[in-house]
Amino acid sequence: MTVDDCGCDDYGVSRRSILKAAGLAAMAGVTTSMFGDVMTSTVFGAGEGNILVVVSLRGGADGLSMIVPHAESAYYSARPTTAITKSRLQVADTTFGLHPAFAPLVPMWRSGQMAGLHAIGLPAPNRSHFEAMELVEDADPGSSARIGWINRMIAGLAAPSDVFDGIQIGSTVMPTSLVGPAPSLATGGFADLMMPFATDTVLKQRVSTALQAQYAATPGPLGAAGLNALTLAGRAAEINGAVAAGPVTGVTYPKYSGLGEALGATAGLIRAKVGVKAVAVDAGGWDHHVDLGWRVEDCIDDLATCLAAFFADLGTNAGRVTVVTLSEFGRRLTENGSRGVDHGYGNAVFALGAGVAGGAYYSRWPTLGSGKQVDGDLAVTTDYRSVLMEILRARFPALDLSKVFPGVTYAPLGFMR
Amino acid sequence: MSTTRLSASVSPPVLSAMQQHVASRFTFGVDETVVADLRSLGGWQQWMESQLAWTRLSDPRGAQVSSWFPLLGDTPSDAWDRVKKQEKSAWDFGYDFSTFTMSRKIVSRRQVHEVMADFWSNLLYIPAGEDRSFPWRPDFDRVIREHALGRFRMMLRAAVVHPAMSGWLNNSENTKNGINENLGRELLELYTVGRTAGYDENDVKSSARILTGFKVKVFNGYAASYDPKDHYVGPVSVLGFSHPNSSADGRPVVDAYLDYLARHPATATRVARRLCLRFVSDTPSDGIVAAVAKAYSESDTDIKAALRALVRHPEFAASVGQKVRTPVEDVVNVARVIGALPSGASTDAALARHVIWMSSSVGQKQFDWPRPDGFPETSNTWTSPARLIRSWNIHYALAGNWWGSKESATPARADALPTSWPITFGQLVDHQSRMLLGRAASTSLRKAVADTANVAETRSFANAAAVSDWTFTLVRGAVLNTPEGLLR
Repeated sequence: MTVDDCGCDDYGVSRRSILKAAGLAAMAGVTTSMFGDVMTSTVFGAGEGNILVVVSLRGGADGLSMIVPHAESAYYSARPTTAITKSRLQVADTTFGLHPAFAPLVPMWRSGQMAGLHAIGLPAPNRSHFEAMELVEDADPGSSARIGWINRMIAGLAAPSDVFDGIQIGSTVMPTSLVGPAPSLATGGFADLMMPFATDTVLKQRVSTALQAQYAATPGPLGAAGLNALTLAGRAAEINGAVAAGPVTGVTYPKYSGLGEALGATAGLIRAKVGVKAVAVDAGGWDHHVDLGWRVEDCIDDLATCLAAFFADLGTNAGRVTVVTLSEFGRRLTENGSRGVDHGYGNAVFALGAGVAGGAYYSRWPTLGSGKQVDGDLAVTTDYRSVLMEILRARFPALDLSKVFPGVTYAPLGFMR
Repeated sequence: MSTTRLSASVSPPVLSAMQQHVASRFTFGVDETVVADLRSLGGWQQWMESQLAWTRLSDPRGAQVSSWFPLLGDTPSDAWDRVKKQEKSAWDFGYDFSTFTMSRKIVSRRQVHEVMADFWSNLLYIPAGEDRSFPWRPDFDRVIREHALGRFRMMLRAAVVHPAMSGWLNNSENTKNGINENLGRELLELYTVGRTAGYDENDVKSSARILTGFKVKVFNGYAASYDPKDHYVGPVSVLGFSHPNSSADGRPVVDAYLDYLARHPATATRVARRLCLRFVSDTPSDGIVAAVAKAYSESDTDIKAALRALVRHPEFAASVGQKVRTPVEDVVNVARVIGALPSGASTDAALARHVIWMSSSVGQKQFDWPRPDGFPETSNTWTSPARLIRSWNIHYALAGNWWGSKESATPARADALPTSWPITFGQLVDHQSRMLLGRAASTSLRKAVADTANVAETRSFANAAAVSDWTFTLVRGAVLNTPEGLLR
């Protein structure tokens, strides 16, 4: 699969994503009071906690272009038209260097707020976009429960969970990582989440009361979603006010960037202090079967520019926010017939922001030696779940990680303080 | 219509529960035409058969739609010329094509055919307005429609090597000297056997090799051809299919390979499960999937046979209320049941254009899914709190024409109301429940609508003029916003 418009697409999510969240909200004990007064007070109490933002690079980002292993001759011989020469790399050490389009993030790197991790991935190769995304986001291969890891994370952090604990921003379709019994939310933005007749207080109240009665009497996911919708609408105005007020002075996100819009809304949400704990954002367009060179450059440029703007936009809240990038798989070492790269295995991951011991590369680097590759791909030496555990341990120490990532052997790389 | 319209009655007739269920699942909205057709044919089986024989159903309204979009009649090279001259962009072609598709869903009488064209377009998915495929996208649609109620085997043959598909999934760049795996892999994973069939990376490579030789001059006139010089020659083997593949023209091998995949038991199960996801529930049993797969296989991939097996299975009848409309289905349904029919698309204010943005605002835009796996077929995906709020808003907007949509043949209020008066507010709610939801109003719905409008159920209205636009909009919006209004 291929998506051309780098980063501007809402790349979407798992085809099998199922929003059970709303359906089981009642079980999770969420109060769905009409105008959310009870919930609002709960929320403000929790508004200063740490936040994880997961940026999904949909399509299978080429980790070898993002963190270039410039000391490996195998990289240069396998990619005659798309390899990046060492002299063009940013912040290179003896083994690795960043793609030049990461320039906007170099200040964060130099100030120790951004780390590059390599040879990360699933425990076994899976070159299907859709299955690999599903696996990455479910992250509990021994279970058929279909509960995503972010959902397990928010369930472990608060009881009862709040509809604003885990949010997908930029798309109304719920990603697998958020699916599960803890209530969570997927939305393009907050501007259009008002009840009908929002400006007519009396009529809006009548409409809401009538809907409340009908959806409360409806069993299953639809009824619960209706009740959560009423709660959500009661608080959307307040969040939208904070989102609409941003970005803070001096910050600009790139124009026409879906990622920029989603991160701008995320920054507003965080400023609104509604108590969000995890945000999932998609950055699409990384499936570079054709013309890797300029396409991946555009994608990295969009990613780096948006993330740099996001951290500037967060201002004093930046000290609470950690960003991690994930992608379903890396790509083939060797170029295909279209100056692109087909689906591969091991990949690069970035961690930015609060708690990151940045300014360095971390990897149990397997090398690209012919005996070290897996079916012609970079091997995986660190399970991506171990990477996430390392972040969660540092930022959410109260969390029981054995419930979020059951059965995973923790093998820290040391990139968190 | 004005004398025989169903809405003329204070208590318009409704279909039997099973008729309503079949019609609701296999149309984009049970409007007066569907009800009239079902009633005159006598039963849902007869109606289904008449719909399956779609070429024999007269459909003047549906046939008109293509004349609203002259751009879509362009040859691929003409389309490219316009883009090169910056007269139009790929986006414009995609916008027209999506508008065409939405309009057909609303106005066509061949509803089962429309629903199945949508279903297959979502399985063999190509977005609208995508750079490498846009000049060929309407022709790809023609191919899908031709086979939508035919044999899957023939649809697969026509679709996989179609120039739109070659552009979209890079097969136009897949040559013996430079294999590009994109289409070869998705053919196995998405269009036929699925991952569980157990193919490996060598199967994927063979799959891609078989597909070499198809050319499209992407970004340069988009002429499509087959070039034996680019075709990989030599033995190929995929999941039990093997072929010496010794001649330079590989097209017979492609046909044999696609036939093999279409007939593969894993494809039968995968297609059957997807049909059940669309028409039965998010959790179809293995039993109904096996029954549909069996009908598919025994008929040599006949889609009609598969559908007949599906609707005959008791699990189908028992699945009432288990599917939520997607945003596209939601907006199209409302337009149909309130009788807002597009009659053109000459300006951006046309209803046909507005429905694109309405469904987009609810969370789904026609042919805008960016990935080759198509929009999710599971209802729960579309049951998020945010989506519900947006649906509640858009229902009122459509009912009251708050967007001021033009080029729409919406009946005047008096022509959507009964002809004998007075009636009570409760009767008005019941009337609209019958017209919009296909059933009599429950006590709780009458109360909900009365509370919303702040009008007593016993209040009497002397004539149609006494029902103000405002009241009528409130009633219709409130009826559509009842939880059942989102189910199909």
